Amino acid sequence: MHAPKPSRVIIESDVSNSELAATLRANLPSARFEIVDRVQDSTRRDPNILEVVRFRGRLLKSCPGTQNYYCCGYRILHFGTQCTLDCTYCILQAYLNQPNLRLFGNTGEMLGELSTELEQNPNRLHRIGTGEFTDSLLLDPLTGLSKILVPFFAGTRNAVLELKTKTNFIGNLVGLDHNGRTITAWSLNSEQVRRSEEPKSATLEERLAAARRCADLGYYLAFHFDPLLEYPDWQTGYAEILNRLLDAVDPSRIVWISLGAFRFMPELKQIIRERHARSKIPYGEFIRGLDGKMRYFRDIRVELYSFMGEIIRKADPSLCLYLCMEGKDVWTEALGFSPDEQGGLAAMLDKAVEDKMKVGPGRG
Amino acid sequence: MDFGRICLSDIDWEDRCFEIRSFGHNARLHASLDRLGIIDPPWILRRGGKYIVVDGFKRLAWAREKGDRDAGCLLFPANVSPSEIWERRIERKLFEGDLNPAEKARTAAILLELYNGEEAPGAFLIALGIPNRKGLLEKWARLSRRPEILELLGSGEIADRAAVEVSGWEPESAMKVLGLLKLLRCSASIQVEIVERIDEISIRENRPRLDLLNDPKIQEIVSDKNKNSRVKTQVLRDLFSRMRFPRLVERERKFMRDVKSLALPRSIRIVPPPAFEGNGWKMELHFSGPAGLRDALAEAVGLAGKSLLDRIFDPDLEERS
Ligand code: SF4
Repeated sequence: MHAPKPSRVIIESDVSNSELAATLRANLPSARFEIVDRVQDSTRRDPNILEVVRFRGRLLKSCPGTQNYYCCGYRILHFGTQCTLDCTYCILQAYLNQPNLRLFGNTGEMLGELSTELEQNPNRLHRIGTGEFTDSLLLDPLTGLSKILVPFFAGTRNAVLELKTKTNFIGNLVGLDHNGRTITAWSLNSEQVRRSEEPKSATLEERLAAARRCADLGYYLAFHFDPLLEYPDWQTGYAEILNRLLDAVDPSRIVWISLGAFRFMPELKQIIRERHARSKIPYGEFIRGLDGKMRYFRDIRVELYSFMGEIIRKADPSLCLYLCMEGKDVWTEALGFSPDEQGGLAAMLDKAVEDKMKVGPGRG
Repeated sequence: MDFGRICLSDIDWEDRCFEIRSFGHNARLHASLDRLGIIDPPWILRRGGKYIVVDGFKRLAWAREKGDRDAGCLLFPANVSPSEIWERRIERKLFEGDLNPAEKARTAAILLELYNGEEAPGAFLIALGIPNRKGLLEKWARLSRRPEILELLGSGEIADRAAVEVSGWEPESAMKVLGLLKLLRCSASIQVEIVERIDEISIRENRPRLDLLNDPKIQEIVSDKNKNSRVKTQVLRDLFSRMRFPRLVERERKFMRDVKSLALPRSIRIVPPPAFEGNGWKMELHFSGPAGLRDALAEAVGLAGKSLLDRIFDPDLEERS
């Protein structure tokens, strides 16, 4: 796959002299650069536009967990929004007023906030990711952000970085001193779902090849089967991708695998119907979850998770497997235990990092 | 606009491009015209050597039928643009009060054309009574191209919202479902529910809507002479729920079976969480006074020893046991 090449870059004057702006100018020599006071919200989606703004809110956020389901306790480094991979199920489609690719030019402030957080909480393990409001690596060939973040985390004692992507843009990761502090992660799905719901993303072959290459470079790996979709004969599709994954990479490099059945804000249904009229994903057996989001009826979720869990555990019983945003009943029924038995989901994931990556506040 | 008397034979009666058809007979207007004649002058535009009507089709037709040679009209200036005419036309139409569905649909189509992909002003939508939801104006506009649906809407037996939803369906299935709704005589929200269910089931099952509507199970309910429309509606809704949410409905049925086999005392009711989501199960005790409460508690304690109780919580246990 090819990285996006926006032909128009609109930069807010506040960040027009930033390092990010300079990198973009170097990497996009034929793009038109415009400096404006403030980038205005708009409702028109234009994949050729890249906006660079000064973000004025918190750049380090908490995972938007809710009370009724276990949350992973992940923190998010908020470096930009939107994505041009245009997956049918993507929640970012609901951000109607900011439909274009947007990066935050105040990278220095972001790192400052991050340093403060790590210094103020030296006795905690910080699991930090970037792929919540955009794809972690989609724009990396243009921004080179990984070349800043990976070395930054390499120098920390109590933090790991997870870069989650559906691309194979790992070029910038080659040759970086990562010090075993970065997890490169891929969202995976069955071949059928990949083709119908995420056709602009890297093929599964490309993703697995990129993962293998990262493992060769010493990076740790993670995989997210999210969103799991229920469709006719899903078992065959998911068994196939799991087998391909477990053939492609050494499970001992995998820090965790997460499973998350498709869930969405109710308003997304109409958006999917309009933007992706051929997609059938809004017509599953969804009910309103305890967090107000639509999710598959629990018995379907349990079936999806048990099926996946069984294959993964057969391959490597020690692998850390977790469910994204699920409650005790589903955990217990699908995986035979609940995070409470391991001190909570966050503690479970911290332990996976400590065991596998040997990173933690207690270690040197 | 200038006022003048226009010779009715100079009007191009065929050109109705500015018409917003109501698909209804306006008896009140005719009574008023018969009594007082034309009070409010129609709007006219000169095009080529002829005049075309912008507003007042019924009034001018009445005058012609009556044998009048001319009528007092307001004439648009020659240089006015069609969008300016439309804006005034719509504004006036909206001020006239409640538009019927056909007029609403036509107005929606005009607004879409007028604003050409841009969002139509909210004030228009409010006056039209169309919520400012993405895609809704388009659905209403589509309805304007479906005279057969608009005719049916005129009968008042079909809810606007249901008609709007089927405006994009292929003609045969649209008419079939509207015929079904007419027969059921159910509320607007149930009509919409039925339409949505049919639409979603057909997409889920990869089955043409018409094929689904002709399903023998549905037809049997529809033609059952022993059921009145209220009962038919309920039985059909249940059927559509089972088809749309087969796993959930199956689980609900299993729960009912399990509760039945548990032979719960009348004082106790077990309530699962909505859609069985989460751990929020409840047990209700019904009693009157302390003695009743003691009895109910004792019965509840007795339940704890029953292994059948586990079945209720386990979706698979019935099959395994
Ligand atoms: S890759 Fe992720 S962020 Fe991009 S469109 Fe797909 S789901 Fe959305």
